[in-house]
Amino acid sequence: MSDAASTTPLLVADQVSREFPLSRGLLAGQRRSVSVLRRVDLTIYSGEAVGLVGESGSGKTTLSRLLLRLDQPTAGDVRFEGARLAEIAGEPLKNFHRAVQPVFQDPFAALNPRMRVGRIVSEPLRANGDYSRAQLDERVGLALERVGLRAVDAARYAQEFSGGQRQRIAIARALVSSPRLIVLDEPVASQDVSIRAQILNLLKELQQEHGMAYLYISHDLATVRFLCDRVYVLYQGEIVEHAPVARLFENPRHPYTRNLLSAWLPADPLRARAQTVDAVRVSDTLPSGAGCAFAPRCPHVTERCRSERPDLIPNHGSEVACHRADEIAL
Amino acid sequence: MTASPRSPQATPVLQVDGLSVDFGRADDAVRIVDEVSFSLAAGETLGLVGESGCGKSTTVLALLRLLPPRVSARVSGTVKLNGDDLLRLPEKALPAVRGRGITMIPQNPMTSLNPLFTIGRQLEECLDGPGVSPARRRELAIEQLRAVGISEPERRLNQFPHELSGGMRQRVVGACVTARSPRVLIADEPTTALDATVQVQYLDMLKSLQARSGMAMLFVTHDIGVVARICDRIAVMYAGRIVESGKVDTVLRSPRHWYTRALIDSLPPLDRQLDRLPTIAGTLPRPGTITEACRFAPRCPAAHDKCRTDIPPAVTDTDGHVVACWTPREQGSGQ
Amino acid sequence: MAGPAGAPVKRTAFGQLGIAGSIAAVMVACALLAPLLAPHDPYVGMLADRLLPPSWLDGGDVRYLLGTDILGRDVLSRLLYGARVSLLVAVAAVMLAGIVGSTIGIVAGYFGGWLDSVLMRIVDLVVSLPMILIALLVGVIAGPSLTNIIIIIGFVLWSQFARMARAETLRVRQLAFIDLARSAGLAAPRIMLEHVLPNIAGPLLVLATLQVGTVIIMEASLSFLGVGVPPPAPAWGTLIADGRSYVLSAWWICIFPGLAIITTVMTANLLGDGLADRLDPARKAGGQS
Repeated sequence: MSDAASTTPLLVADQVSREFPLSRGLLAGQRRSVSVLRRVDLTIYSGEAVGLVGESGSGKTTLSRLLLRLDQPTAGDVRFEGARLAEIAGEPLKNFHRAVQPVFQDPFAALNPRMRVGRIVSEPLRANGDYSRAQLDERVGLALERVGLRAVDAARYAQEFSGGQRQRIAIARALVSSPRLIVLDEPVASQDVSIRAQILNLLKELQQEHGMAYLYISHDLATVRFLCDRVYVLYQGEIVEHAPVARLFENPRHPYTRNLLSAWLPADPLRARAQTVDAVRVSDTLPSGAGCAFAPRCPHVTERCRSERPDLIPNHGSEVACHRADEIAL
Repeated sequence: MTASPRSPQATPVLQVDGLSVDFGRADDAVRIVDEVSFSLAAGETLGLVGESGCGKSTTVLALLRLLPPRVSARVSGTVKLNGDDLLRLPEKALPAVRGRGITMIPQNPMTSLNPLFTIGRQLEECLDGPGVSPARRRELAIEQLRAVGISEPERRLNQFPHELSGGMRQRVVGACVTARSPRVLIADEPTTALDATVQVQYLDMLKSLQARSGMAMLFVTHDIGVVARICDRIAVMYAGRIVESGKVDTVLRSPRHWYTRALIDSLPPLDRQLDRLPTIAGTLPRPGTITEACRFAPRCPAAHDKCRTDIPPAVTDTDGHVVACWTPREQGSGQ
Repeated sequence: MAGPAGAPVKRTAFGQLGIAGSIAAVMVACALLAPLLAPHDPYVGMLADRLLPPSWLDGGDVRYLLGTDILGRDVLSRLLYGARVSLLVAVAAVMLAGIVGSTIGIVAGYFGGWLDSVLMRIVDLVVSLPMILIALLVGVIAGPSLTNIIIIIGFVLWSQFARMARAETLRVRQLAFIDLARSAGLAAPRIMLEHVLPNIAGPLLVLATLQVGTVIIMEASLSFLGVGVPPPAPAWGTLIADGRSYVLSAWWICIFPGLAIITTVMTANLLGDGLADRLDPARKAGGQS
């Protein structure tokens, strides 16, 4: 599904950075800030499922908020179909709001408890166009049935549903405006194992049916492998590796990616026990900002890593930001 | 750092028999935990696994007598710790039991240290007890820090939590909960708040603490990977009952209960891309729905008439593998 | 832990709510039906019957259940008509304050930034003004009238609604459904109206109920000081002011309006507490084991 490389990308993050002011000093002098994303490049083409992997604090949610236009980058651009997101307004903006829909992790906070399901699901339509009551009802009904609920559930309140069903409602809402991209931010992280599999299957089926693109954000590697075509690995605000899914999982190039993969525990006890995790070096120092962000934890660190930040460069079919990618790869 | 499965020793430290918990008044009580039994030997690790609402957390709270008092719950059965029945101990005997007998590890080790106090002060609080002099406490605290692999323990005692990295804070928490050498350590979802890379490290640290002290560990979790890595035995709960238990290697590699099999199968693998995950049809039952039947029957591919009318008894084979199913899967029909 | 622990709590809350609600309903009914219930004209007195004690005391007259005042007017009738004035002032002032304050609070909390800072500094300013002095000043300049007193009290009270609305908005603002509404392209005013307001209405309603009691006392104080509801309209505060010179000889003229005020304020507080109990923890029920 990633053979659309010739066309204009759907959504692009171009050298995007985001800083948050740390202390709002009384005097407008020294303003300190914390840099959550640093010069991130990310491209999503129509119809493909892109994974964004990172642990807590990696900046993956901040990035998703920039892509959803819920927040503005402090440097760099987000472009939707070639147009800078910060500048579009009017009809193109409505088009963006119809075309890009989010699904968030916590289906309890995502559904307004005072609204009926029908109103929740129809919101992306109501906000961006004139639809008659009958049109709304019809499209809401179809969306609900598509995710495995019933059309009559539109009249109920979200509290009446279980966590798994609520996430289905959230997906129906994302589906209702026939989007071109759904940004899925940890959509199954708070679900039980048996429900998780159902939702992952549903997401995969929906993509095959409707051909929309996904940005699937997760810390759970196995679900990324299941759902995605291409994966970005984010570490402390920087993309450290980017590769097609099979390549990333079978031949990880960046030490952090290898670290992540080795920390994934399979259900087979023999393999789970045999898993040797690159000792995560417990360090006292925070990254200085000059060198590679992973240097303080990296088992292969050199002087150069501490002083010079590696760029994301092509390496055997992947893109890797590591000075020693070639030396350490097996 | 990994342990080979130990054979359960003769006398269990913790023996739970027929533990049931009913919520509500007698006429409309709902049974959240139904006749749960298991035992734990010294040095052994048991994983109690299940999805939300299966009663695993309630089981732990009940056996620690920590159910919130305003919940009108009726607990029956026996919980023997070294022969004393915890459920029948007087209230005032409980603090001593919780400190030295059974200790519970906090859910999120990253936020369970008080940022206002030094590491030393918090550790010494954990060590506090009759007949321990302040000087001795300090010595013990240093010893304890060294045990969990923290360098320069003397210096660390005067530091505050924010001066330590996340990994070190975890170790301090580990040092704290094991400070008074509990016989049994209970961990309820101890790693869900942690990143994968940090989680494994934390698990391995607990394992090495166990190797030193010989304590038994009870891990309550929904994460089968965690169980696979550090547990010797596993008990799988569904809708308030234990449906299967036994050695981790046996149960996870060739499960005999259909629920266990389906649960394992529904985990996406890392080494290949599936088109579709095997799923368990239907939804989790509402807690407390009482039926005279196998509770998994409505979702079970092998269910037949008997499953819908009679509760399947727990059957033990020679290997200590227990299955509560009328028609369990054939042994060895694994992977 | 979905234990059915809510049951006993709910029952007492309902009892309290039920009792307070019934008293409030009776009071409102008395106010509305005053023309039917009052045995006498509240404005016209029989000078021959002046300063009669309540009917059950020596010298009392069966026609005047709670006695008469200095002009021979029936205290009970004036009390009933006074309920109309006092409750009208209370409800109108609270509504005014509630609408203005909540709007400002929601806007400040939703947008944040410099707008929030400016609006909240204004709130701080209003809170720091000596209420009685301002009211006296405005009352003296603009002259006492029903409309003026409603506006004065409303002006003093809106700041509390603004503070609560802002705090509650900040809480709701970070819930995911607000981000979802924003990503759907819903305009800010609609988000505030459709998503924020319904989710903060409960606490605001509780505050409003509690404020009714406060307003009754404020109105009584202002009327007592002569800048409230102008005579001859029988607001409870005015009644007390009228009777204050006779409190030793004809105590009934000011004691009964005083009791009416106490009852109303307590009812409003009970109602507010009951609502708070009812609206708050029930929502938080349910969770995972």
